[in-house]
Amino acid sequence: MNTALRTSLILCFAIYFFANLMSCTDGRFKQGKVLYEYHCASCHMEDGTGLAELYPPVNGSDYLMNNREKLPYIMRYGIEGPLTVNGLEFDIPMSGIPELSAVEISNITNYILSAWTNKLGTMSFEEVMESLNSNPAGINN
Amino acid sequence: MKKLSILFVLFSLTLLSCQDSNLPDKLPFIGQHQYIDGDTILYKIPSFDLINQDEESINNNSFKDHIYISDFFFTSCPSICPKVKKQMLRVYDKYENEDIIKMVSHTLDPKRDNAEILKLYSSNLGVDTKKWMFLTGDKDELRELALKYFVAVVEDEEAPGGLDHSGKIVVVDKNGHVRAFAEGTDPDDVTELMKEIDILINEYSSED
Repeated sequence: MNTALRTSLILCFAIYFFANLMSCTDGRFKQGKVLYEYHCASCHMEDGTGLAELYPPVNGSDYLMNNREKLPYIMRYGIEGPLTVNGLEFDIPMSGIPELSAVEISNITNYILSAWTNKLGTMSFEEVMESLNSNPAGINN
Repeated sequence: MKKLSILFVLFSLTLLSCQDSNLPDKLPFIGQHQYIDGDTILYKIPSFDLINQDEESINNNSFKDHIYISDFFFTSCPSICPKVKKQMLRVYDKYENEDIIKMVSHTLDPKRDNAEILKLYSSNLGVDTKKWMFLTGDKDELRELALKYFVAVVEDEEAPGGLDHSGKIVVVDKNGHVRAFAEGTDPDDVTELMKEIDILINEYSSED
């Protein structure tokens, strides 16, 4: 009986330990997550899957994978379609969010790049500034 | 050891209480009913006359043989509408082959959302408009009607898209009575709503 009790106690501690560990990795881009959910999730959804052929996904999106560097720019200045994402064509204009600071954009960017199934690395603040100051080809606004 | 077993029993009891085991076999009638001379007049969706995405005239009679699931939105809505639509799409997917169910989305911005825009929206959403139609019409009539579906609408220049509104999904039976509703932005609430829709379908199938 004692052994059983001891085993379950150890098990409990193990679960507790791993749960804590998980929550640590979860919180890596905490501000980015909060801002994403406030500014982006209405259309792109909390799980980044978008909506049908109305709003493109940002989770597992080939467009994002191939145009990583445009992401901060699109957040600030918006984008007009048509835009092909994962073989579907999207044509609803997205307006930019001018009230976001460069730091906030950087946090949202890094959240999106690593959230859900995305494994698109990270973007340094310099890279974010470069994007914001660029005029990426293929973006008309 | 005895204490441990008591704890175990208590724990199991709390688990049981969490389970939703008491779903009714009939749904309630929702809304402000009227009581006149001892008779109850059940709340009903008032008469409406709107047009759909194909410019066909649609009124209450169009749904007399169907349970319909309703929401209000506008195509340029940047706030809660897409989330509600995602949930409506879940409902659509579940009942796609259930003939008794129809779905209806009303625009709150008929000036912009004419039949043509609604048709394009439905095609981008990838749904069959025989099953899920999109209605437009007179702005004031739509605003009034929204209230009857428990949807609050407030014009507000500060709000995203200029309109503040709630995202209720409402279930109406063959007689125009409201039988269930859910907060369309809350996936868990919509899961519960689908259980209620099942109950309503069952009410009609046991009538046959």
